[in-house]
Amino acid sequence: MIRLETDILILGSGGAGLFAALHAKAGAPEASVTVAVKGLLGKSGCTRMVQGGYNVAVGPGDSVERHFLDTIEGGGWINDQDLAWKLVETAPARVRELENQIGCFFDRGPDGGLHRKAFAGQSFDRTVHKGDLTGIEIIGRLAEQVWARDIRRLEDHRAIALLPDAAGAALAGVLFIDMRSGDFTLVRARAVLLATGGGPTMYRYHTPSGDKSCDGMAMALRAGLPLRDMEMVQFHPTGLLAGPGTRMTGTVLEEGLRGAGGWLLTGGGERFMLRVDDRAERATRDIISRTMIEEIRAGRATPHGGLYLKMAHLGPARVRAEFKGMVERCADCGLDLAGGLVEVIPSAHYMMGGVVFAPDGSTALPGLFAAGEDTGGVHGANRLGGNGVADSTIFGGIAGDTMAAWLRDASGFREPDRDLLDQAAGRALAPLHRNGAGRLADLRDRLATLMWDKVGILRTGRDLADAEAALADLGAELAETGAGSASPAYNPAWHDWLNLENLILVSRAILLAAQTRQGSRGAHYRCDFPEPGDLAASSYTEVRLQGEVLTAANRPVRHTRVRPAQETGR
Amino acid sequence: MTAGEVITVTIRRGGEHGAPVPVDFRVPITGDPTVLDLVTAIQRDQAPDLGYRFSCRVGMCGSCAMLVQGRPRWTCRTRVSLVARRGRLDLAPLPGLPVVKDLAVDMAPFFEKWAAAGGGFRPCESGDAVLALVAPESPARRNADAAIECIGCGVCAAACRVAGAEPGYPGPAALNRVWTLVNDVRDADGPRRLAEVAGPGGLFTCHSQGACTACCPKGLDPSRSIAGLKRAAVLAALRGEP
Amino acid sequence: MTPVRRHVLLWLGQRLAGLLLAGGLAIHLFQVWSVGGAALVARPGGGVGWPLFYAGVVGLALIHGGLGVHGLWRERRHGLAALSIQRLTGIALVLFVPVHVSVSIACVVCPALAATVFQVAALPLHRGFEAAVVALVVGHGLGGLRVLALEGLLWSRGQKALAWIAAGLTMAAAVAVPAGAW
Repeated sequence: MIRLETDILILGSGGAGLFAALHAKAGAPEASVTVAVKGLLGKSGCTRMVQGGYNVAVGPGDSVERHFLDTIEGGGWINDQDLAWKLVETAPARVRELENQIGCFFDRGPDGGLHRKAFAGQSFDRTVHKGDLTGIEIIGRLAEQVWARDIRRLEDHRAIALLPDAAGAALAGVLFIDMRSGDFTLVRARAVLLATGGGPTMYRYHTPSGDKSCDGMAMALRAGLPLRDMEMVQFHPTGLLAGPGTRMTGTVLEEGLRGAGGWLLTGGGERFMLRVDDRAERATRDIISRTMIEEIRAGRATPHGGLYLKMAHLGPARVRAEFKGMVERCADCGLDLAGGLVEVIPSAHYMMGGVVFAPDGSTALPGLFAAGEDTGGVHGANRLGGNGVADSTIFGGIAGDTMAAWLRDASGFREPDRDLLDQAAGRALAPLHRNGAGRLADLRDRLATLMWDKVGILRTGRDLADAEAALADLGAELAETGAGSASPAYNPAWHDWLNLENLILVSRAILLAAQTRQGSRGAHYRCDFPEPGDLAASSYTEVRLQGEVLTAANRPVRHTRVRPAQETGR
Repeated sequence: MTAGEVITVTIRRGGEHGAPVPVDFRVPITGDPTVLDLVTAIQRDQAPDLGYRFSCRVGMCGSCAMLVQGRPRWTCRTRVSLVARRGRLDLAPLPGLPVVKDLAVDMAPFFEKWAAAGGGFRPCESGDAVLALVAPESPARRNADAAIECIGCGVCAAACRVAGAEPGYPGPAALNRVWTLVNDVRDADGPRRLAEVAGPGGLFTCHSQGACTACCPKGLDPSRSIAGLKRAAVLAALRGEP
Repeated sequence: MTPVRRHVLLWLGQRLAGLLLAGGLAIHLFQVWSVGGAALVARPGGGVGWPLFYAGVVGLALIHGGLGVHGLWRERRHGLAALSIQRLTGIALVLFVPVHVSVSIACVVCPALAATVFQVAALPLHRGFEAAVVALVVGHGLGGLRVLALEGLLWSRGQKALAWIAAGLTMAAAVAVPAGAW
């Protein structure tokens, strides 16, 4: 086992991780900062995949308060309001930092100022963007800045356990698999940021990058940290449906297509969103996804079992100009987005839930900080399009500041609990010595089908109970399955196994939270409890792992800044 | 290549230390798969420890590039039906980079060159308060936009024979980025960056063969960016600038 | 002068010398085609115009070829990567031109030698050799003009394709013209 030490260790190289690295280095220039990622720096993760843009209240007539209310309303009143306020309040400064310090060159309006486009569920056009590939500009520029600084990189390093010291008083370090050699690497650090991103890839149709597997949330659960709002899985209404057997299926066609006036049609060519919501296709993602599934279940689906997205009525030339990236992506699948119909299906996109954390990035475990999709509470029951990349860059930067300050007070390096370390290493090695790699794909497909059918967009108590038993079976089956090769060096089957183990654990957390919330809010819809309940008496779910058992609790939401009744005054 | 056919995929397998060995796999085709789908199917069903990289699966991250029929391409957006010949497909790792295992390479040298060429924005001192006003149709914006959409996949560098031969040459991607920054009115150094890349082993090492442009999956024109840098560097030198 | 500026200006010098050389060689080739090599060598009392012209052409060739060889040497480790058509034709001309210039000067100085040389030049094998040299010069020159257009005028890809088609046609002409002159 290789042992390394670094003052600040950052897990993940998306918007949160890279922003944290830059801020930590700026705040503590003498400190050693290390970014570890299970793929390549800046390439893994979902910030890069952001298409639409970045919500920020900078337009004339817009205000931070309006952005806040949209975020809370969209979140079904279960957001942690202090977190949501931090988000909207910091967004204008962060966008200026992205432009002036990091070098992102966002699109401009005719006056030369930032162009802001319309996004669903918002009272104002406030989504700043770079074409329809905003994330590439943000992550490309961030990665460049990291490469230019004295920041250590651990690429192809998969974190497998957060290790506290023997007393359990604080985090001591993180155990990794160096994926290239297959050896373990123990990195001791005085401050660790959990920023691996979520990524609900346990659903049959999903939008995140394929290497995401909720590793951060799974590690947090095993370290005893509480996860909130885990039932809140956002489905993006327009995932591309390119048929089975291709990884392109599920990838997202951006929200701005509907924002610009795109239509959703049944298999028979009929527009259906108008029946449900005055905003039609510009309603929030949860409402649209639910309506789409109802249409599909009512038998009005397209040949591949989805619905149609139509843009042609806006003029194919305009569509090609405004949504170049999306048009090209469809063209690569042989589909004509600008002039024809493209089959779409709601696709699991984002996890509103995650580790409970404070506005300064700290968690219940001293020395562990968290930011981005690994965390819960910012978005409540439903995230607005354009608030995701804002979340990761804002809270990543804040966590970087906090960790730099934390070094001044924190003690020196701690020694991780030896028993926990051995346990984690033993658990990771187990599949290498078992056969059955050929069954991994089947297990993943069954997990994806189970979660899609039973713990998806429309949920019932009976389905959830069925899924509970089935998930337990899948877990037991995985424990009997191996990676089929004893070679640990860059062995994808081994990492598939570890991905699946994490996905099953986090799926269990989603399911338990979904059973616990007996009501419908935002992304979570219970057919047997369709009412949202009293907004003023809102609660959020909290899931913990104790031993092998997950436990859940409902906790009251504190409306610290605005109460539901005040909403009418806006 | 249509559904139901079986394709023979030859993969150059090997690690950093072992000599690469071509290995054949026979894969039944279902639907209209991409090359990445095919590699995934081989890893899942036939060679669980086959090393390959991918992340976003949809042409945004640039992790999955490899040599497909000898030409560097993204595998996630390349359909097998367009590149297979007579039921055969030949795959190898991107050249010019250390092989981690099989089809997976270490891209660090690529980004080290990017950084060494100064491929990162440098902020002005003036501070944060205001954003630069740049009209969308202004030449300043159009010039900066022309080459901005690079995702850093390394395909151009793999296609460039000079980059493969001259270790110190920044390569098309890094120079393409520098050209964007030279044109970025917000960058503190802008045209002053030319002197950093115009010396021996720098941008004049480019022979304008255009392989980068021919292979760029984003349809960018790094060759033209480098030509732009050359012209700007010559004009600067004639003005007596360093 | 900074090393960077020197490097840039040398590069520019090589390109500019090439451009001027292309003009000079065009005139030279036209002369050979219209009055013939023997007449050129034997030109009696032609004043100082033509000698000056040829001195200039040789000087440009020295600069262009010298800087070219310097670049080749600097990039010698590129090996096969640098073996573009442009460089291969360049290397061939670097080998040919000194011989051609030396022999031509000798012929001017010594008419007896010229007679022998032009006997050899009349052999069919040598005619073929001449055609090859013309093709090399025209190919290298057009390739150079193409690169100048790409780098100096920032030609785009569509224009590049056109340039290649034009280059191909002219190459064919370059071979056909001396063939027609026999």
